[in-house]
Amino acid sequence: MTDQDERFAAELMHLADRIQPDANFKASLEQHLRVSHSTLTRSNEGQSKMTYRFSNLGRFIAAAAALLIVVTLTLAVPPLRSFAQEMLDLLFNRAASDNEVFETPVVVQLQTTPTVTFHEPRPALTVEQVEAQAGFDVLVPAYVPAGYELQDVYYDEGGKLVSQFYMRNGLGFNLVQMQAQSAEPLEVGASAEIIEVTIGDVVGQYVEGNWTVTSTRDGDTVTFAGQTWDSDFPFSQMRWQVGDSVFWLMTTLGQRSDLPLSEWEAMASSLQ
Amino acid sequence: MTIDPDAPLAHAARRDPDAFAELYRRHVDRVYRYLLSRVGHVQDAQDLTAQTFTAALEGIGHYNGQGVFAAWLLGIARRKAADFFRGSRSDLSLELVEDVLVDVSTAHIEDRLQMAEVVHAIRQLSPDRAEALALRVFGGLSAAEAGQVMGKGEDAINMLVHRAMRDLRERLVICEVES
Repeated sequence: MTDQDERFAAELMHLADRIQPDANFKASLEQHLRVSHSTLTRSNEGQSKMTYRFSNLGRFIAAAAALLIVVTLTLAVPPLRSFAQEMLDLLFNRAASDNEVFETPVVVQLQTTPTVTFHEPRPALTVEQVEAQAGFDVLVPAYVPAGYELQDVYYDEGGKLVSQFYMRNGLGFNLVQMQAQSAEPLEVGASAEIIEVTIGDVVGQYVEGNWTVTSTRDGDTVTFAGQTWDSDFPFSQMRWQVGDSVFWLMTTLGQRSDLPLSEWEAMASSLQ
Repeated sequence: MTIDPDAPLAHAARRDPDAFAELYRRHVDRVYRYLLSRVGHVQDAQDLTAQTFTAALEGIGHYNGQGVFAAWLLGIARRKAADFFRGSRSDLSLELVEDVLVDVSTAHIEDRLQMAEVVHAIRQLSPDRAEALALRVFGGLSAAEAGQVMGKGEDAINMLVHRAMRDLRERLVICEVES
């Protein structure tokens, strides 16, 4: 780079540094986001409770009764019991407590200049392309509730999993598929209610709630020291295993499903 | 493994408006600069910045910790800019750009390096060069980081930026002569 280039680059960087959004705009947008945050959280919680607890109570009871019979029969026969237990091992694990303390607390200084490492954005891929990346057959649901459309599908090499994201009216769910050898059970709080569900010929598990991080603030220093299970946290997830594949259907964090559990089961059962 | 300094805040931001506000304060300048350099219009950059953070708020639960938060946020901003260009505002004339940028603290900008001219010149670069330049200069990324965003090697980014700088300098000189 010549001296002229360097001077020009320096001038350009200097120019970029001086560009600031209008202070009033920044402040008003922050205020708007704060209000939206509260509204969005209340809206999601109210909507999900209404849908789940009232509209689908009958179907849920029927499904639960049917499941009880299936699970009872399965667990009563020793060879099947062993197989069934093995199939449940990669789903949810109940923690000893609802409160966990991080071995190493995470300390964050507020108002510091962020250190950013950018990752390449995922290109839009087809299921077939993702299947080629993953190296295993990727199943897609033959049935998806009306209005839901596939928005994104990708293979996560680190997690060795394929994620499909579907959305309708701003509400979405992820369908994750991973190989059993790459899967680990997901820990939930001691008080979490684990509901067993039927997916075709197998038994899966459904849980609502999530861990929330506990933090303390001292001036500009925030310390995240542990996490607490919150059964009311708007997040729904269901896991099941078919052969060598473990499937994980979940809402986006902060949202409960707008679908009854029977619809989740229908989608899961339609994978092909 | 490096812990993304935003990750705990992003987790807390699902329920805590203060945490989301802190994320907003950390990244709003970067997002705004990037968008302004892409669309060249203060009002549009503000609108797209608001749209970016609103979408981030609505989708904060979808951020699952894979990749750093800033990359996720800039990904939203890039999609918003792409949506913008699919609309009818992709053909701003230099005159219009100058008009709408008149309130961008021009007192701080030296002569021909006024933002209006720079944005106009950037828009005449090839897409790859413009993107590399925007990421490096206005997004404040290193060459390696910009390379990750664009799916190119560090050397390729350095070359793109070098050529973008050369083109930009020539175009700005031409602008000066013409004016």
